Amino acid sequence: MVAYLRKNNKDMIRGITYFIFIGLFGFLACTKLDEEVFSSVTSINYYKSPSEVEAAVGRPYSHLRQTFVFFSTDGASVYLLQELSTDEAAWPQKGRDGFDNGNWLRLHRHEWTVEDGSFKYAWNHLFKGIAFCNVLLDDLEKVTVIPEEEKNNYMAELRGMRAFFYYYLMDLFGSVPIVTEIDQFSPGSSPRIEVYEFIESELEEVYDRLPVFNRDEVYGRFSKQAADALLSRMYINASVYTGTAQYDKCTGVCERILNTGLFTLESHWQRPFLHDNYLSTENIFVIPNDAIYGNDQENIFKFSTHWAQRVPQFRWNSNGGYNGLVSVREFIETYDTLNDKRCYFDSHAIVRGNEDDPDIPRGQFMWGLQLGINGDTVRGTNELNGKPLSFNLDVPNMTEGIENSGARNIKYMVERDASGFSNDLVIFRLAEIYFNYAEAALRMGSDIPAAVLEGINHIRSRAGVPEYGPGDLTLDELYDEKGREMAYEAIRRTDMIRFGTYTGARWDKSVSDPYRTLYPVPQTSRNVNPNLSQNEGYPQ
Amino acid sequence: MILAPGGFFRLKRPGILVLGIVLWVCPLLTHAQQLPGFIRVENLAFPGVLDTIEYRTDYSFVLDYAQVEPYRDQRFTFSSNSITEIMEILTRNTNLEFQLINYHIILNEKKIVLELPVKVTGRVVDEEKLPMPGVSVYIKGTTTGSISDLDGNYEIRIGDMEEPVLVFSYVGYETEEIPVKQQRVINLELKPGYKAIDEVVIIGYGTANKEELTSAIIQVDESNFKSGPSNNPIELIKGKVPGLSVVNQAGNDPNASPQVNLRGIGTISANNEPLVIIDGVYSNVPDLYLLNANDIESFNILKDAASTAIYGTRGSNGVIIVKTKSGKSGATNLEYSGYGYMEMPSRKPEVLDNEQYIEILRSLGFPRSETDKGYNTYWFDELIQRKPSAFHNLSFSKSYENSSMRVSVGRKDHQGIALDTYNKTTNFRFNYNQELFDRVEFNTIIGGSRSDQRFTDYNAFDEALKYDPTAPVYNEDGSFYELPGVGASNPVALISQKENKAKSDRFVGSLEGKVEIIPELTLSLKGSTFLRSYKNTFFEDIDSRNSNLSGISGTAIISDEAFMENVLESIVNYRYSFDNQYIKVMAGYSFIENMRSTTSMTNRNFLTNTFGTDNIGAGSFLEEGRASMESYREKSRLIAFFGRINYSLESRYLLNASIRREGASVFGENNKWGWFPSLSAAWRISEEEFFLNIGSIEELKIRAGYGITGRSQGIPMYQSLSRIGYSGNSYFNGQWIRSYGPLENANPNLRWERTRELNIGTDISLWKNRVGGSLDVYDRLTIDLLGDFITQTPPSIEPSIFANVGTVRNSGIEATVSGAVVQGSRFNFNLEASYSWNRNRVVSLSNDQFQADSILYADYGNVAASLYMLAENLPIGTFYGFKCEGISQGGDWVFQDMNNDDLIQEVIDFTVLGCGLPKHMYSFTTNFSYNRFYLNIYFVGAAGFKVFNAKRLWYENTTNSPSNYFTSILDYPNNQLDDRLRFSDYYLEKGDFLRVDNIAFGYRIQGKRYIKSVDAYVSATNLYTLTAYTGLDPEVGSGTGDGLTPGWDRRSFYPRTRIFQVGLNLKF
Repeated sequence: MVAYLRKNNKDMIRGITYFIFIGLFGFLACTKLDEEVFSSVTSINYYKSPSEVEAAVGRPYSHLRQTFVFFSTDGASVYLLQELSTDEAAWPQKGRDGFDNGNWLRLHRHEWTVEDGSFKYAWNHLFKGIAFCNVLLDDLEKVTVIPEEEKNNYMAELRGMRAFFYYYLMDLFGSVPIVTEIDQFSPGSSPRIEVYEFIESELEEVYDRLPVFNRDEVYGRFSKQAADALLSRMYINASVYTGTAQYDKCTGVCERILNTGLFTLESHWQRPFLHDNYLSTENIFVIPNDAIYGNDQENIFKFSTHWAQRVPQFRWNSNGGYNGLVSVREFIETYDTLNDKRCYFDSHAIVRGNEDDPDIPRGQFMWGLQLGINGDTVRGTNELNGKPLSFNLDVPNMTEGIENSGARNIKYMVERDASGFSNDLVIFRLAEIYFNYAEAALRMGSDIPAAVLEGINHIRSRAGVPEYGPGDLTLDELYDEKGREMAYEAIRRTDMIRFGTYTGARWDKSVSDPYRTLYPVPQTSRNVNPNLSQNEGYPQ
Repeated sequence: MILAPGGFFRLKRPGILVLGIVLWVCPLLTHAQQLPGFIRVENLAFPGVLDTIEYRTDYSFVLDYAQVEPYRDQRFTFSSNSITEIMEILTRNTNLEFQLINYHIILNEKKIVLELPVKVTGRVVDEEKLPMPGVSVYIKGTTTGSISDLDGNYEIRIGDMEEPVLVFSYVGYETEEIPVKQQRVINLELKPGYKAIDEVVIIGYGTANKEELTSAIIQVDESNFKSGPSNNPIELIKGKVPGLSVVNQAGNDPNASPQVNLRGIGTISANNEPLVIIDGVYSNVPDLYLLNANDIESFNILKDAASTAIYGTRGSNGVIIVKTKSGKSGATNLEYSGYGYMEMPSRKPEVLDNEQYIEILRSLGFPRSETDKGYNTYWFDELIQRKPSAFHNLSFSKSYENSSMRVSVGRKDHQGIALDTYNKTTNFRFNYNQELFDRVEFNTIIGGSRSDQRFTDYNAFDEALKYDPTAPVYNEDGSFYELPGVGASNPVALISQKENKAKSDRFVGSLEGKVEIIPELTLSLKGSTFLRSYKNTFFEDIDSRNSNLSGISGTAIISDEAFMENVLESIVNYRYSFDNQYIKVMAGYSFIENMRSTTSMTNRNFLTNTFGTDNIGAGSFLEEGRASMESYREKSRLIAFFGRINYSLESRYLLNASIRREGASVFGENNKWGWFPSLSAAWRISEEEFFLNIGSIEELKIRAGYGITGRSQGIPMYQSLSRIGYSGNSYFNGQWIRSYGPLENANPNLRWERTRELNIGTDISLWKNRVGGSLDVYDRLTIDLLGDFITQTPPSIEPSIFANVGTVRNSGIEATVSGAVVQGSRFNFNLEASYSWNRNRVVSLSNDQFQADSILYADYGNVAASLYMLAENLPIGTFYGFKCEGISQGGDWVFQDMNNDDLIQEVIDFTVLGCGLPKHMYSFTTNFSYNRFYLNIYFVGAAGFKVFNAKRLWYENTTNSPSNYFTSILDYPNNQLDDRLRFSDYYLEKGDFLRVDNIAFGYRIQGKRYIKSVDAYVSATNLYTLTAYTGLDPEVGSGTGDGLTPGWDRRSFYPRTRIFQVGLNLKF
């Protein structure tokens, strides 16, 4: 057979050769290298339906939630930058824990450097939010699947969100580049006043197209009222930001919010912060959280709780706390510690069966012996290994504490037996509007309108402390009361700067230079963009 | 003088003496073949005729006496006046031919134009006259070959060749070359030799004889593999190839893949692993599990750019080509090899016992009553299991007239030293080769493996260092003891209450067809497919500590990965030789497509442990909306055209040039395609005439090569596209919706890293190859380093972009020496050594778009802002931190104040502390044999690097409490230390080591009839390590993945082991 084939194989060889040549040259034609994407889409084939547009408009919001309170050992979010350099919160080293490259120590003592990761983190994420808005604004121009009207409304909302991100950049860093296009490389810094004016004009321009707040549909989105609340915060600080006071403008926007009648003060001080605070009538703009759909901001509860407190105390199915952030005694003592319902938190409150006992005080600061849900003692693991965990109101200093040093804040009390963090994070609430209104009036030298004082007295009385009589509410008193009421709401730094107390000496911190009222532009960003200018006082 | 071809001989007769005179006086008669008169002879014998002619004419003869000798009895009768006629008569019945030049008649043997035998048969025996099966017999200069059978008999077809020469070769024997001439039977005795001369080395898309090589390519064949059990087959060549570093960070973890890199770390974020090619199928180091060690014939390591440029963007890391055995190596062979072994930890951590622990804790303020749990547990031992491991392999091969095949089955049952870890793998491989119609050849390979693995948790070994030694393993009721609260976990429970397993299947199939269009031109087409499916199942018990602490009883995770690679390649080979030159041209096309898809699902909160992951729906997280499900798919393509020219002049001057044009889909739109050229040349000085007399030097070659290669391994897919994807939810219109947005900064300029390398080398072989060696010097510059570089925010979405920035230079020297020191009839002693030195430097970390002078990395949380620094003019893996001047009286750290501002600050007061990458690596092998006994000892070592002993940092400091500690804490100055955990050079130690890596002692006999050979041996691996390092082992590798964190002896680890092995190889 083989022999036979050998004699008659010329055709076959030709065939095989031909086949191989086809193989060779047939494939030579194949030089296609386009990438095929399967598990994501590219911008070219996105925006095919109204719900795809919605999902894209949602991106700046989910980004805000993912980054506003986030942190790492080398990075601080907006939230921490607004808290850790003030008098109400500190993140001291406790034994072997909590040093974290010295970031928190330097924030507390106002000794940060331009190289600190903290600023890089906030800077990058705020600009990332802005980049999302810019990309979307660019993309939406071309989108045709939704009506023009709806599209313009979305674009207004996105410009509002962009202004919101810019507000924090302006507040933290002062002069920053104004970037409104996705490919605006090497932008130069604009003076703080220009950024201020940009935010103001943007908000004014889009105001009419912004939705009106509505708990069912426009919750957690940038509404007209969110814009007003942001403007009220801008105007009350205008002299810091621009050198020109805008108190009348401030009262104007405050009035605009009050006149809507959409918001009322709660009867309990903690209602705006609890796990079901989406029902709260007090909150104007929040970052919604959900145990299942959006559990990104639980850090706010975990910053200060001890890891041993996770299950025994709250039966909260998540990893333990970081045992990081403490509330210094001096700040707690600005409260009427015996009577102010916002102050002391008694761990007996979380023992089963005690939940509804009105005699047990429950505030936001935990100190003393910590109990578990069944009444057993929570125990330490480091210096207090196996010993009862009892938070000590006193912290020796920023470096020499141990695991139980310092009182802890749980303003955002997590739901008992919860599976995650569902408390919405409050950005603007009615209480602030009352404070801003009152402060603006006081600073203009006019009387605080009765309705506004009534609002502030409501806040006082629900905390169980005496109401203010006419003339009691001086600027100093307002500063203290706003501090007590709005502690841990990422506003303390701004307030302290306005009241001129920010750079002063306090617990384990000496007087710092005035230039510390602005954080430095991160050096890493300046390295790649020489057009970014550095704030005065920092190495240029 | 006139030279005749061959040896020449002057007839010692007077006539010849006038030769010079005749030449001189009769110039005019040059063409006068007509003689002055007739010469008549009658019945005169051959010599007489010659005498007569010389006497009677002016002609004289030049001839080889021996050639004439056979015809001396022929007698002649003629009369003629034409010398031509006379000579025709004379040579008519002989094998001689004549030539007339002036008055010389040159008599010569005729060129043999004989009917050659169609086939040659014969028998090959060894020095003891025993038949030698498996001897390779081939016709020199061709691929036609055969193999001797069981009885040493062979048969080979010659075809119509001129002057065929048969080459007989067998590993460990001198290669013989026998001209066939008319012989039909050639019997031969092979002599043991140190090294086969004609080594066929596999190069990119082809093969070459070793002496033809012009670049740095090393072949390690079976006879030279490292003995002892190997977890991954790559360990067979550990230390054997200078410049190739093979480190198994995790000791002998059956489920760990070693880190492999060639010629230093050349990248800062791409993958350093060489390209692995198994019989032409592209693979990687972990997928070498596809093979069992016994199937491997040789590793061919292509080191320099001149040899790897033909592999384009995957060439920079070097290329390891694995050739598996095929049916050629034995006519009919049945082979069994098996071994079993036991492991034990080579060094155990010394931690405090019950009493010491209580004492230390008492001094820290924990009273005995609170501390003592009443037991004395050495936790490390509790995590160790002592189970035997076993390996079996059976192979069968046979060759037929036009075909050959080999089939093998292997089974590995590797029991890890860590509790409950194992890897059970079964492999099979089938090679088949068929020739058709003389001109067509098909090669088929089918192979596969199935692995069943259970993983350990390295953290458990860290927990074992720190866990309370007074605590028991179990409570009285048999449940695991756990300390109250949320502190450390019972190490045994940590491993036992988690079941982390994987099942993986690998399959490879390839078919290659070759057609010889004309003898000089061959065409081949090859298609192959590689499949890997990997299924990981993880279950954490409902009563585990994690479950108890989190209040979620049990976690189940199932994840799958499916990978497929299809390759189609066609290659044309053309070969042309003329005079003493030859030229070989190769051109080809390659098309590779990869597809990978993954799925994973997680559910929690189970009622029972019984199901494990087999009923993942039973957890309650699914209903609660908290279960997770993911899937992903990607596809990439690589297309290349390539070609190579080899030119050889007199086998002395060799030139090699190759070029590749390659494109890959993972690259940015603006950089899809690139060129990769190479040029190399070699001069075989030993082939020069002036060298022939230096008899002791067998081979001396100098070679130089330059090439440009790329590194694309590790480039994540789709980095060049602007992709939109799901990124968290947002609350919209009163409900949670999924939000979609851009995923990263797209980089349309993304490209491969480019390496330019110059390699100069020399190969030498002395005294009949008894001593051989090679030396290579290289300088490789890698530019366009891939990495996450800081980009402008604003306007970018992300602060970093995956881009090409920066330059790294690696230069080094590599040398090997081998020699047969003693070569006796009974006693033999061979020595082999390899050495490499590498100097690594970051040249730059910037380009016009991105700038950085230095990058600090490896954030160590509370301990240090960073452990390492990448900076210009420093090597990768440079430790950067405080310089420790001592410990103060008060027990505080005293660090050097670098800027003299009386403040000790992180980063500002940091300084360069040393490098974790070894500068020198070396190994040597000694093989002794006496009669049938042999003893192989293998040493391996490295020097010139620092190791960060992180375990000491944590467990030699009582401010890290509560914890158990090393007993070294009792020694000064550790006992004085009372400052927080901080990284400094206090914890950097010299890592230099010399390891007795393996000792094998065996007995080998050649059988007679049914059993051809028996080899029984015992071996010990990792027997002894000579080092000053105080940790468990200084060989900690170059860190995970990117290789940027070399010399970091982490807290979590897998114990390195000492292995005792017994093995048996049988050949039937």
